[in-house]
This record gives sequence, C-alpha cells and structure tokens, in this order.
Amino acid sequence: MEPSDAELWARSRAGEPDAFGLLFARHARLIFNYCFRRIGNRETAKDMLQVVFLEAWRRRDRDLPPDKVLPWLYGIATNVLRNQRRSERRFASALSRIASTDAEPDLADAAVEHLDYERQAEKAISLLNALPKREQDVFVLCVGMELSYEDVAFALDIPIGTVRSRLSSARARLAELNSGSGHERGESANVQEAPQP
Amino acid sequence: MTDQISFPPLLDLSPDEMQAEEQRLLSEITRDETRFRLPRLTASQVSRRSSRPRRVLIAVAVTAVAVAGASAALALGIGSPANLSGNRTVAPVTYAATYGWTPTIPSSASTPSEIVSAVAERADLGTALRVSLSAPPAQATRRGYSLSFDVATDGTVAGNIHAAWEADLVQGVIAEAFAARGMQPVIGSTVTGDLPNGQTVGLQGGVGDVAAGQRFLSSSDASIQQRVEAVLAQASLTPVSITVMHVGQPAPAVIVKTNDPSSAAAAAATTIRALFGADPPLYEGYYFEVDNAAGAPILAQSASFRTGAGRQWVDPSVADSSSLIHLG
Repeated sequence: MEPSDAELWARSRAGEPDAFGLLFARHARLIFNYCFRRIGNRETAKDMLQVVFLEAWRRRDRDLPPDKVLPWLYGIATNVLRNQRRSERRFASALSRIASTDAEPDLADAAVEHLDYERQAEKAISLLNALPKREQDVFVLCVGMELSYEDVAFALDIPIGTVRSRLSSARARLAELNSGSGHERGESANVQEAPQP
Repeated sequence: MTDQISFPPLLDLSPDEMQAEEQRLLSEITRDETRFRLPRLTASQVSRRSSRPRRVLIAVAVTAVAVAGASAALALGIGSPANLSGNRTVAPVTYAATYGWTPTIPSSASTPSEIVSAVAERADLGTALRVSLSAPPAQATRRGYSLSFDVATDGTVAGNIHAAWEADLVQGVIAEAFAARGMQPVIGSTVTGDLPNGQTVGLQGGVGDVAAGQRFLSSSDASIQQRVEAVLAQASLTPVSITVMHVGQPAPAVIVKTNDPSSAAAAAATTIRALFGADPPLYEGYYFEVDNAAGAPILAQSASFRTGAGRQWVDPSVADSSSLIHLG
C-alpha cells in the first residue's frame, strides 16, 4: 500500500529527502500544470515547479492537516507565481545550479504540441488578466485545477465564503467581458466545474 | 455549468522529464542542507565565513549612497532617539516622523546569534539571504558586532541592488533588536552576492549613524498596492511587480515597465517621492526599478532608513547618473 500524503509529509518533516521525493512524484504534474496555466510557458513552469518544492522543503516545519498537503502546495505555488520575478531571483543560484536537463529530446511533434498548448494557455491568461489577481487565483484553482472550495480556502488562507464570492465575481466579470467582446470559446473542451459540497 | 475560459488540457511531463526534475530537486535539497535553514551559528562557522575569499566582479559602477548623516534628516520625533551605531558624539539621523517602534523577536532568541537568525527568518527570504555575525572591521574604533550577508542575485546591477537592499533591511532590524535589548551595536557589515554561476560578487555594506526606534507606516499590503498602482497610473508606468517586504515594518519593492526610458528616468525622483514619500519617508525602505519595454532594467534605486543605506544606478545610455537624485 502506498504511503499517504500525511505519512510522506511527516517523514519529510523528519528530514527524509526520499519521502519528499515521493511527494514530488505524486503532485508534480498538478503543480506544474497550475504553474503552466498561470504562466503559459512550459520551461518557466518547470522552473517554478522546482521553486515551489524548494520552498515547501524549506518550510517543512509546517504541521499540515492530513489531507491538505496538495492544497498547501497550491498555496505556495500561488505565492511563488505572484512574486515570480522575486522568486526567480531568490532561487537564482539553485535554479542555475540545477539547470533543467534536456531529458526529453526536442522532437518536432512534441515541440509543436507544446507550442499549441502554450498558445491555448496564453489565450486563457489574457482573459484571466482582466480579473483582479485575487479572483484569478480563486478562478484557476476552482475551475482550472478543480479544487474544492474548502481546499482553495486552505491554499489561499481565506474563508470559504470569500472563495465563493471571488469565484462568483470572477464569473460575472468574465461573462460581461464575453458578452461585450463577442469572445468565442476555443476549440478545446471547456473545463467543467468541480462538484462542490 | 461550464466556464468562460478554456484552459489547455493537463500537460504531462514525460517519465524521463519527471525523473530528471525529481533528481534536480533532490540534488539541491541534499546538496547543502544548511542553505534551507538559518543555523544557529557556532564559533567555527563564524571564523569560516569570515575567512571566505571574496571575488569582486562588479563590472558596472553602482552608486552606493550613504544617506545617514545627510542633510535630509528629519526629526519630528518624540524624545531623544538612541543611536544604532553606538556613537553618541553626534546626533543620529532620523528619517521617520515618529519614534516608538521595536521589532518583535521571539523571546527564545536571546543571544546575538539567535536574534540574527530570528530576524533573517522573519525576512522569509529562504535561500536568498544568509546572515551571520562576523569579526568586526579591522579599523573599528569601538566595540560592537559586524554582520556578514550572502544574498542571491542574478548578477545584473538592478539585481545586485535589490539583493543588497534586502540585506540592508535585515541589517536595520537586527540593529534595532540589539538596541532594544541594550546589546552592543552593529558597527559594520559586508554584503556578498551569490551569482548563478556559483561565483560571488562584493556588494557594498556599511552602517549609518541612524536613530533607533523609528516608526514608519504599518499599512496593509493591499493598501500599499493600491497606492502604488494609483501613482503608477498617473505616471504612465506599467507595474511589473509590487511586493512588500516585512522584515520590520512594510517596505515595498516596485518594478515598473516603460516604453519611454528617458522620460521615466527624468521623472524618477518625482515618481519615487510620490510612491514612497520623502519628507518623511513612508516606509522603512523601498526598492524601485524601471525596466524598458524589453524588460531590461534601466534604473534602480533602494533605501533602507534603519541603516541609512541607499543605492542607485541608472543606465548611462538613458540618463546621466548625476541626474538621478536619491531622496533618502
């Protein structure tokens, strides 16, 4: 049986890098995608992924509720992305020392696919930028990453009611923008709202 | 219900990429564990750090302005301020409008090393800043502590100023904490920049003759952001990032972008005055950077009013450095 997040976090807190590595393997994909959806650049998102986990390791004295490791990582990612430039400077030494390896050959098909995804992300980001930053955070976490309201509240350290109101406000603004600009939805499937309690 | 934004599908990192990224992370956190903690310093660590060779690689001159003692001092305070540098033969400089502030340091931090660690933790800069007590400067004529900073920087002039500014803020609050506890003062400091390539660069440190206990504004981050955004809008500058340091009281760092570097440089003093105040300054420090349309810095200025340290630089192709006035 695989160890739970809580077990891995407890072992990480005790200073076991291997346990932290397992947490990374488990959650890297989602955190990477969250970064990508906020930045729109695959390589930068990979760097931000590293920064998020370096920051999590640095803060490993934090006692987390058993099911809140991933929401907490989203919270760190949100802060890292909000201060991206500073984060990059902060971890400049580490990022350069652990420069991204060319693990994947830059095959033409993969490169085209990446570019296509980056274009989609840029389109989404340009719409998101019409929202206040706090609403962007809530919208992407709730809709883009399908977190529950409770988890978003934990990630952003705000009350659940605030999550609801910011999401509602974000939707209203986006609806207004869409009706005003005649924006048409992209070809990719619209993200379904995650079921909420 | 669907939403109005189409996010791209979830991307997958290939198994090789995942493994590489995991190795990348693990190699860093196991490479030097101490970089992720600010250890309580031992005598051996202090001596090792003080003997560390420092390589000076600054290629572009940075104007470091010692603002302490300058005529811009404003003293509207109540009572007589103490002197952070411990020199009581001249009146210390006061920038704030009022006195009566002391840093909140955990009571468990009682020794100078513990206070240094506590303040650095409070700065929350992670691996980007390390500080330790070091041997006092050879030319020191009085007793006191010296601080040795290592700060991460990208090596650009603006990056160096930004990194050194963070050290300036930390130094100021350490000095305040020492003063509040009746300890010997901080009488010197060195700041070393850690470059991405592993080399180091000497950034100027130092201590000004500044009053202890200055009280600046304790505005919320949101209100600082609102104020900054309003000023930038009026100045036709595009915000790139607005962050607030909380070493002692709030200290904003504002990076902006412009399509008209010459005009932005010419108006820099006015903009900085509007953003951060000048008589008196609103915050315990500030960092201001102007980038051109390509994102390259063309001007940077910082101030730390608890140490009396100010730094500034302007791209000589944009403006004469003498035209940039430091408001500290």
